[in-house]
Amino acid sequence: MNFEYFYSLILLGLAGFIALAMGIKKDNKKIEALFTFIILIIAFILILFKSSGYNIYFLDFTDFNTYWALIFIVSAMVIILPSMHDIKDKHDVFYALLLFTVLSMVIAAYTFNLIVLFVSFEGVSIITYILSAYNRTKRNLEGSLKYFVISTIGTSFNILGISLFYFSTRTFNLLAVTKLYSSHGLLLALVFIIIGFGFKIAIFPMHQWAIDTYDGSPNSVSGFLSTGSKLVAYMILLKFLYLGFVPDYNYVFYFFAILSILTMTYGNIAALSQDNVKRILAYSSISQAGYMILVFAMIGYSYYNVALVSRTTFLRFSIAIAMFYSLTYIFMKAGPFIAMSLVRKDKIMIDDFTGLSRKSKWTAFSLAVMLLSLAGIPITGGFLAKYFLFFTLIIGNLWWLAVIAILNSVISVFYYFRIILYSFWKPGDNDFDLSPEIKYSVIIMALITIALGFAFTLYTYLIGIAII
Amino acid sequence: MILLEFLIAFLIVTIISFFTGKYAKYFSLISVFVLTVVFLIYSFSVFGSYTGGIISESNIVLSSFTANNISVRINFSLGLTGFTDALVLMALIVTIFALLIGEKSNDDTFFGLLTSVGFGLVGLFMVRNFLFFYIFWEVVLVPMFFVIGKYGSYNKDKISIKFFIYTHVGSLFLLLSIFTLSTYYFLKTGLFTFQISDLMNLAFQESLPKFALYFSFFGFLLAFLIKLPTFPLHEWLPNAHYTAPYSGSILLSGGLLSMGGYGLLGILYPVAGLFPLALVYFLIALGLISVVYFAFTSMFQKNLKRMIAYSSAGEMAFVTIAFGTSLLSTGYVRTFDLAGGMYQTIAHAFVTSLAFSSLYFIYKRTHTIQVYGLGGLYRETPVASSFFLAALLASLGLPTLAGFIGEFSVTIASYQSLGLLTLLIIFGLIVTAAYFIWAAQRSLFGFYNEALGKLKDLNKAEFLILFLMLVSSIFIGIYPTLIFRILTLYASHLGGLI
Repeated sequence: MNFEYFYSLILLGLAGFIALAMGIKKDNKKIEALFTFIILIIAFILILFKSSGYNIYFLDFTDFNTYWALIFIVSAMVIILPSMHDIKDKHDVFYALLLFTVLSMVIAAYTFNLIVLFVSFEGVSIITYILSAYNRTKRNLEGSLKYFVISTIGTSFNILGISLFYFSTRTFNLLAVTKLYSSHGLLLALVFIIIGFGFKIAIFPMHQWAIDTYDGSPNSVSGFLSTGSKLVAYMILLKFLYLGFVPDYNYVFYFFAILSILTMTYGNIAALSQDNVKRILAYSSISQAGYMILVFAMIGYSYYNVALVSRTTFLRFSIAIAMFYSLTYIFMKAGPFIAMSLVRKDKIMIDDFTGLSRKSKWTAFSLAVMLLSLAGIPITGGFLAKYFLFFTLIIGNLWWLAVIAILNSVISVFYYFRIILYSFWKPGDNDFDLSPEIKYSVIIMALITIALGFAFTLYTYLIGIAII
Repeated sequence: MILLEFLIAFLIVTIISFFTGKYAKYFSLISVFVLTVVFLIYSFSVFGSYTGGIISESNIVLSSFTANNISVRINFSLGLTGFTDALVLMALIVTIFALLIGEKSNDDTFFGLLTSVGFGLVGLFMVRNFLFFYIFWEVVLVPMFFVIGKYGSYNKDKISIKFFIYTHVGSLFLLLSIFTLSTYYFLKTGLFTFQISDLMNLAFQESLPKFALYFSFFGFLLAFLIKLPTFPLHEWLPNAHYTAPYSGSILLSGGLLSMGGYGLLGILYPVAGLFPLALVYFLIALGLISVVYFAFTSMFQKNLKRMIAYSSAGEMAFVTIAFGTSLLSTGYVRTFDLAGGMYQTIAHAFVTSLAFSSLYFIYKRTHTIQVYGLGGLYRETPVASSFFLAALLASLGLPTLAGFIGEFSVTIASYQSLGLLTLLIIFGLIVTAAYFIWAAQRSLFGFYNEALGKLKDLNKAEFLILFLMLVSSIFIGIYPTLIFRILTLYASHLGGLI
């Protein structure tokens, strides 16, 4: 057994307990946050340099999996600084829980076994129930309870789906699917698993909890819920649809195409009439989920074999864009949620942002950059992600889907720009909480978002590792 | 490589100008002026012996990947043609004009934004790769959105968002067209690339299936005709002009509108030979309708700024006409037509800068630009009024002024293919002349509106600014060869004569 590959996992687990122990005498949030951050960086480096070419039991160390593990670590890293500000007490427990979440996420990233995927996914879910209620205000508890109830329903769907999957393929390992014993069973499994994980991704009919939960949770936790924990479910579905599902059913493509159209259109249209900024962001994360599940449609579509290019080329591009989109999504989505802490209120309306540019020019600019990125305007990561997403649709001969996605992207410009407009030139003055934790994390996130706008090399690298 | 260094220098200047505090105006003006001089020297040395086509291509491979029968290559490549050389020069000069006017003289963000628009324009005209072409195409929009929205006047929130979304729709369809071409290029050669020279290649596009070809034409035309703007797609322009500050208006008409002209004549023309004949006639019809329609709409404007906005759109309609009619003609007429269209794109920027600037100085004194609120201005401010009159005359295409050359050559050349339909252009020009003279008569001559009180004429600095603009406008009006030569060489290259 080659232990080098497990160093990062062991480190994360141990560090979680150490973080818990650190708070026994005195809860010093600075030291705990720094400790967590350093541990995550060490884990990041360990994973980066010991990445591929080994598999043992249910863990597969491949480039593809490593990329996802790194994404998850980054998604936890970005909320450490702002959470020092958001979380009111018991920081030791918070950071310990965060480290345990990351451990679950990394294990989920490294496995193709449905049972392990399910267990680690539950690990993420259960911890995020706690995190979303962490400040114990009425709004926190309400959001967390909704999240808990809905997620539990999702869990039961998952269990049913996974058992049906075993029933029809006689294996839990997605890589080992060779023979189909019951195609109807597999179809049912597909339906149940999509519903189960779809709750977490907040796909259209399963989205309603997300609005209240994102709105009610502490800001940095909302950022984490809408990026990290969502991406876990996204990655699991990606693995499942790409490997485990050997369909005879062409309508899988139409199912996902319609689902993604509904998701993005619903998210965009609902966001148009909102005045509550956190809710706007929640709806926008639903519409972003619509773009992301276009990749599932493309995977279903690849079985048709009517794309302009060969099937593997098309799959390569589709999965590469899923991976690229996920990375940029972390920064452009968590960033605005973190920026909500600038306002000293629980219920953040859009006119609470007036006067931001006069108070702090660069914070307003950074917020604008991330919103532009969500809208897909150039020199931001979001642009490059959308650029290659639409490009992949065109490669697949899916003009109609590309046109619909583009029209949606036009609608979304409206509500993102409304926030910019309020923060830059609407008359009015507000008192902003410009504490350095929030200010600098927003600025850093914006800088990374811009840097990702030039990450062409990353994209071409991802095309190389996209096929497992 | 000098283009790359130039672009990087401009980028640095743009970033610094956001931090210069109260020296913003001087800093951005001086640095853009230095850049202009550098570029002028460069173009004289390189384009002295220009013979057509693209020159000084610098090509940096940013990222490439080859495996399993897929090659992906993303280049950052720069190059200039005769047309883009003139356009870059125009963009730099128009940026200087806008900075000279620069109303909010203590706000470094304002000057940073204006400089960014200039940077975006220069980058757009230089790049030879569609990925970066699109990036610059959109990058121009964002600072422009801020200029209109943050520093605009009437109803600025709605109008700035409308401006952005309207032009963004066109851009996104442009994006789809680029992807279509790139995908089919991959099918043909096994290489994913966004190089303009590869994708906008007649031999390559001839091999495309009809659907893909027309889809890509649709996207390109939509984006370019919105920017130009042509008759049914112009709705964003007058409002944006009306709200924008004057320096924003200068960049809007001098910069953003010429992007449309560049798109049509610089990007799309090499493959326009594949246009179905019906589409060519449709474009010509759009151009003709635009000339007449914009002439009449500006006639009924009560606001001088709106009037100039509409008339500037009317001037750009000559580009559409040149584009369409040159496809129908051959030989030297074609070259003449194209070069005329290109010249119009460039001259239009100079003319409208002069018009907006002189209008700004009038507005500064009278605080109104309603035709009926003014009257007899010549009595109080003879110098400012003369400049405004000169701008109006330049817009209607008076010989010796910039507007004449382009309109004249397009009209002459299009007669070869349109015949008597050219009378429509002449008719549009007559209407233009009529309303300009009418507007001048109402606002500059006649009885003075005593409610305006005693007015001071231009001071020295203001006089110098307008004088500079007028001189440049006259200069390219009486010595067009300077630009027309390289335009003709490039056009004859496009037309297949070289």
